[in-house]
Amino acid sequence: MIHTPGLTRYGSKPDREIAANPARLQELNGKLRSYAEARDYLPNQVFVGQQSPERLAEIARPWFGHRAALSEERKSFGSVIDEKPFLALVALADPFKHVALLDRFWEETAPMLQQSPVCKPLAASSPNIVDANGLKAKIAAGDGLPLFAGVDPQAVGWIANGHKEDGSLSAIVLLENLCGKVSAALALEELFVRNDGLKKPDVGLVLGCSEEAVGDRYQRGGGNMAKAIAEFSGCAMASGFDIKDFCAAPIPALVTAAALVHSGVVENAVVAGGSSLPKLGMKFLYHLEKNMPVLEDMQAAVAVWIGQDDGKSPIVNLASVGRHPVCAGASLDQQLKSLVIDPLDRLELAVPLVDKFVTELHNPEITLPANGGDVAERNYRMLAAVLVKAGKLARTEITIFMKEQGLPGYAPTQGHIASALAYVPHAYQGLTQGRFRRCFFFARASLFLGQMTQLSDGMSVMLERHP
Amino acid sequence: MMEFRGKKVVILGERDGVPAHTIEQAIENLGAEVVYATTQCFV
Amino acid sequence: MDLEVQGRVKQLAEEYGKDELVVLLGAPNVDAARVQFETMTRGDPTYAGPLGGVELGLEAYHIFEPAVKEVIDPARYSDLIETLELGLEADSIVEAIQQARAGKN
Repeated sequence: MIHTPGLTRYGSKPDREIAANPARLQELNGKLRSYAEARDYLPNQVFVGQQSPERLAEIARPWFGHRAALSEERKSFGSVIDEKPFLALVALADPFKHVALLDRFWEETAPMLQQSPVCKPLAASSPNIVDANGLKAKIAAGDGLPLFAGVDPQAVGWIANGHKEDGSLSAIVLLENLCGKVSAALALEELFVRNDGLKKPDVGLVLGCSEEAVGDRYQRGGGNMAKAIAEFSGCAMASGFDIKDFCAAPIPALVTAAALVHSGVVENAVVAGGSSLPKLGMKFLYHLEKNMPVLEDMQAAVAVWIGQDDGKSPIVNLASVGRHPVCAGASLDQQLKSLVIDPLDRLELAVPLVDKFVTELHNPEITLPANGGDVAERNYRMLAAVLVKAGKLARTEITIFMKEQGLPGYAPTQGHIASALAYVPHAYQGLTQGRFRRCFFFARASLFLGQMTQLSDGMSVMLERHP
Repeated sequence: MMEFRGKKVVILGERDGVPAHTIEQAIENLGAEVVYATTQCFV
Repeated sequence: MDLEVQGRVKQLAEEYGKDELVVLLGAPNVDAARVQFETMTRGDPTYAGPLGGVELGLEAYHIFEPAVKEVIDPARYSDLIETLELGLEADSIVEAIQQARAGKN
């Protein structure tokens, strides 16, 4: 996770609102969190593995404004990174030198990069540097965007438009893409730092499943972010490609990676979901209205390594894959039938044999104030209704099913990251050191948002304990 | 009772509720014309 | 409620007139259903969008409401919508809309 309060103004909603009413920036900045507040926020602690998701059920909301006590027995599988080193990495990840950092900012931040085990491997080069006068001149000339760290009104850098006439290469798009690239590379570093079994040259394929669209005016969304991530990470033997399916993309990416490893095309594949800059501050007006902190100040990324059978790691069961065919329509119940009921029938598995059904785990503290309801809870209620209709669950079992086999939401509203992918490391722990036998992952994609179809999509797959 | 015949219908569906596509299917034989159908996605 | 959607509905109301238009809602919870109903009838309660202060007075229903449900072929309704009713807070949504229609909040 990366705490990015200074970048929150460049989320799609804040950016539009500030353009329409510049006073909004002041209001937004007045309700952003400090790094320590964001790091100690219980849902974020759950995200990086320092707390179990079950903790959320024990602690009443509001979770903001309280410091989650660190649990001693749990080992994190991720970290919460500060905005300053992240901005420095954004500059280092930019091969076309559109990003320039203020000299003083770089001097202050370079040592922070060297102190962080996940930033250091990505910080071997030097960024494009500009002095205070140069930065002032760039801001005065326009043709790009100033970069800010936190709520400090003094800019610490600049990102220039990549092409005068190409909206696909505008500064805001390049910034979005660079954030996705850097955050995904950081998630990969977490993998390498915490897994002795995987070395960078062993990675044969990186599959991107984030939400950006890298390309130019002739090929908007052409890709290939995955290869850019692999290069920045130093995975010299890897190629890559992106898998697009809105928020559901991580599941087809996991299935594709597992299929390619299983069939022997590659020995090791890494699925990388980078962060989404546009989703920052999506509900900030509601948060301001409720006089609460703007909680959508976090970018998040997840990486999953799929390799050979090592005799202990969980199995991706390719026979379990559920697809959502065109004929199933757009309704959630039809979708759940295709994604959950059909695979359970195919595997002849009864509901109690699945320890966790894992789906969209958006933090309800973010969505409830915006009249969006509790997304995770609603998903489980609907799943329960579909299971009841299919004769797989009794009506009287709905509540206990939701509590025992569902999960509370804790992920930031970063679309694909919240859509089941965020839980993979928790599932890994449960399926190796814990008591889990099976975790069933499913995610849904709102294809209609792209206005090419009124349909949605989705995919599902079972992760199983090694026999 | 609602009379749909001859009406122009606006459908405001929601991904986690009833999507526009499903509402459209439900009323397609009622003699109304759907002039705008959209599905909102909250997350 | 989405500003783009508000703009489109406003435009359609101007084009067809409010007597010819019917709005059908598919919101998944009480809060969202109520805001959408308000926006279609008495105007955007948040005053953020094009329908802020614009009282369109459109005829608006949630798809779960009996008035709509009873004109849809029961087999079709059962096939397409019944499970959604079971999985969502259908009764509360219907009640909230009916209260809002009666002018109570």
